Amino acid sequence: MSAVIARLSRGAAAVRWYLRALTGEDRWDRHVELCAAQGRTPMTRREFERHRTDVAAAHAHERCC
Amino acid sequence: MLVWSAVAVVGAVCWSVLALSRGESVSALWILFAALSSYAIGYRFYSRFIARRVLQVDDHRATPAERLENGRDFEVTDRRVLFGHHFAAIAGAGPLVGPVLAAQMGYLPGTVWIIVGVLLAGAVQDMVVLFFSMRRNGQSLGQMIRAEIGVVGGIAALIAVFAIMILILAVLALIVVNALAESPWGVFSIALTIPIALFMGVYLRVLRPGRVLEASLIGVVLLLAAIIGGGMVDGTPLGDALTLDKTTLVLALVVYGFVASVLPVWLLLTPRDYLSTFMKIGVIVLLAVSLVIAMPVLRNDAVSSFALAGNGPVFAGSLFPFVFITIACGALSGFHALISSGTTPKMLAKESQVRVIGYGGMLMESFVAISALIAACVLDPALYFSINAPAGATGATVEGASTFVANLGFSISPAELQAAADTIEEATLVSRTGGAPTLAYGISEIFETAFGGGLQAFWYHFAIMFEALFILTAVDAGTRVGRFMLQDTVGNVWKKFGDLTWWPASWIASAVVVGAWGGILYIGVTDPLGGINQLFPLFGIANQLLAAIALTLCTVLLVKHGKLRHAWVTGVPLVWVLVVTMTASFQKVFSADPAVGYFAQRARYADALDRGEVLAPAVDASAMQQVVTNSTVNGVLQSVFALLTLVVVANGVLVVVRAVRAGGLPTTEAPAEPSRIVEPAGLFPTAEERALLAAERDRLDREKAGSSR
Repeated sequence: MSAVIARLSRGAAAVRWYLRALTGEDRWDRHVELCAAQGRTPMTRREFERHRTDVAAAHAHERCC
Repeated sequence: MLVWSAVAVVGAVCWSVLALSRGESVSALWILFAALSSYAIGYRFYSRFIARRVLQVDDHRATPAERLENGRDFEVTDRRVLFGHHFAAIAGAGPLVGPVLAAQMGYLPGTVWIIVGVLLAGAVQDMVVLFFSMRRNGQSLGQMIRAEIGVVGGIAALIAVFAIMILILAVLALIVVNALAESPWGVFSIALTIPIALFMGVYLRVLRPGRVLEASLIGVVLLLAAIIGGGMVDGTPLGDALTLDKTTLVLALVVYGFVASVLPVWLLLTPRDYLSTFMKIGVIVLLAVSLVIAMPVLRNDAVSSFALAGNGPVFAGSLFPFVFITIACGALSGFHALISSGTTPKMLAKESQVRVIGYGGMLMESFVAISALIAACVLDPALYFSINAPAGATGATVEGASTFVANLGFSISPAELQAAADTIEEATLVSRTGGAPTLAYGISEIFETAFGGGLQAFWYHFAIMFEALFILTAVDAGTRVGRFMLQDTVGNVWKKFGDLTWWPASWIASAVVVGAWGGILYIGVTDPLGGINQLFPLFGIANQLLAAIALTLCTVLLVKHGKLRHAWVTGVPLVWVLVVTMTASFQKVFSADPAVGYFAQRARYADALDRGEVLAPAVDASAMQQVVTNSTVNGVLQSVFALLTLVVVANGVLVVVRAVRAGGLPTTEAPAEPSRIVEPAGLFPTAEERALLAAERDRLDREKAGSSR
């Protein structure tokens, strides 16, 4: 029983990891990690996300037919 | 080896059943499994051959993402995540609509073309373009053509890409207009996607920055509520206010397209894109599962009489070349070359991943096309033709439609047609052309059979919402891409205009782009002969012409790299698509049959107009004049597209001849640099790759421990 639960929770974690990566939600975590590794103070989440969307705005957004 | 033999046997059995069954009921699952086993074999063997022998991918060579990593456009990305990004970018409404229209020819021609086309042409194009762009630091298709083929070809390609994009936007918008006209339920739920997206945008920017999953979950719940709520507006004053005719919807879409393209992307475009991506994945999975549960039977012929006679009501022209034109996306789509030479090549971690992303991503899109084809082929053909015949033929009444399909040899009573519309709570299904209502009806029937519960009306509008959502995303995004291209091009002459942040330039460029597709959309919507049957062939040919341009580039590059021996890999699809598009273009321009040839149609109506006659389905002299104008516009566009493509191809042939004589020519490929990262090639790492990854982790850990000491 517990093995099934463990397997299910591993599956759910994998799905969550994938969706966070796909939508770019995990970028913030990476920024915090990178700053920690380099000994810098990270931006606030608000500043970081704003910066990220502003960068995205300067690029064409590709969607096909 | 045993596994692959089994897969081959399954595939062979499925294909034999499809090819040999006549006049008995054939399960749709044969198509599904023929597709899946063919994809598996094509991926395992052909794409590996292309990667290893033809392209000679080299994982010791650093990709642009590794060499030029800047955290913005160049970024090493997990292959599974990149697969999702790439698939979301290539898959839109195209693979859903084309196969539905092509179902007029029967289920077999579409099935064969979607599967064979993707394995030998479409997926090859996507993969090879992705590879060459990756080797050139992610250069765009236009840049590569200018650098590798020549300035003339480059300019022709640039104009062709821009013009084809405008046309594609117009046709996509036309599909939405046709699906939403006189449908208060549809208009209500689609209109609500705008405030929902705005709310998500504000949520992600102001309320809880960056919590995309939360915002998307709220968005999807609101979206479902909007669909359910839509079922209640019919018959209310709000419902009456939302019962819009086609011209009003055109105006609404044009205004929307302009506003969406100048608004900040975080407010509307990005959140809408999250919604549409989640809906896309959700519906595709749901459809695949429900097909297996419902096991529907194909109701149309394997090859219909229209395939040979070329007189089908959905679109005119015979099987060759028009099946190959109508089904573009899903088998071979030139537009993908723009995505494969856009952001994707800048994010690849390893060269060998072009196989899973380029070839694999396109197989997935092909699977969507197969599902759409099945959804159309499980419908009663009488109903299918009642929905898809232009209003000029059916008179847009159930009685007219019943008579019309009786003349085609099918039988459905007016009462049955009305009952079909009633089950999905729409006023009528007659002449709801464009493919979206047909597909939505097919999906609603399959879901109803699979899951039950009397929810067919909900599922119909769910499917309409799903299609409209990503068409609108494509319209927003396409308008912005067009705007960027225009600003970039004009910016070469007038520098200030190229500044993307200078609002007068972006407003003017947006207005030009929206005006261009809006104009064609208006022509399509008001066309007395029916817009889809006139414009969809133009759209398909344009998309395939773009594929011809992309395959020309690939072939030229293979020869320049001294791989003449393997140039057939893209050369054969190139010749095929040229034969198809040039035959189709020639027929659309020069055919003496007014149903096929634009200029023959023009002459027929112009002559009648001179004699003071009115030809059906036109009702008066002004409608006659409109047919004359529209046929002229369509014919001219058609000729221009074909000529531009021929210019690129001719320029390409010159370069190939030079390269063959010289035994290869220098190219703009970026010099090789050694790669320092370890990443698996496919979605699932092999045992060998796992060992390498483990060794790499150990090495990094040791390095870390070493540096901290």
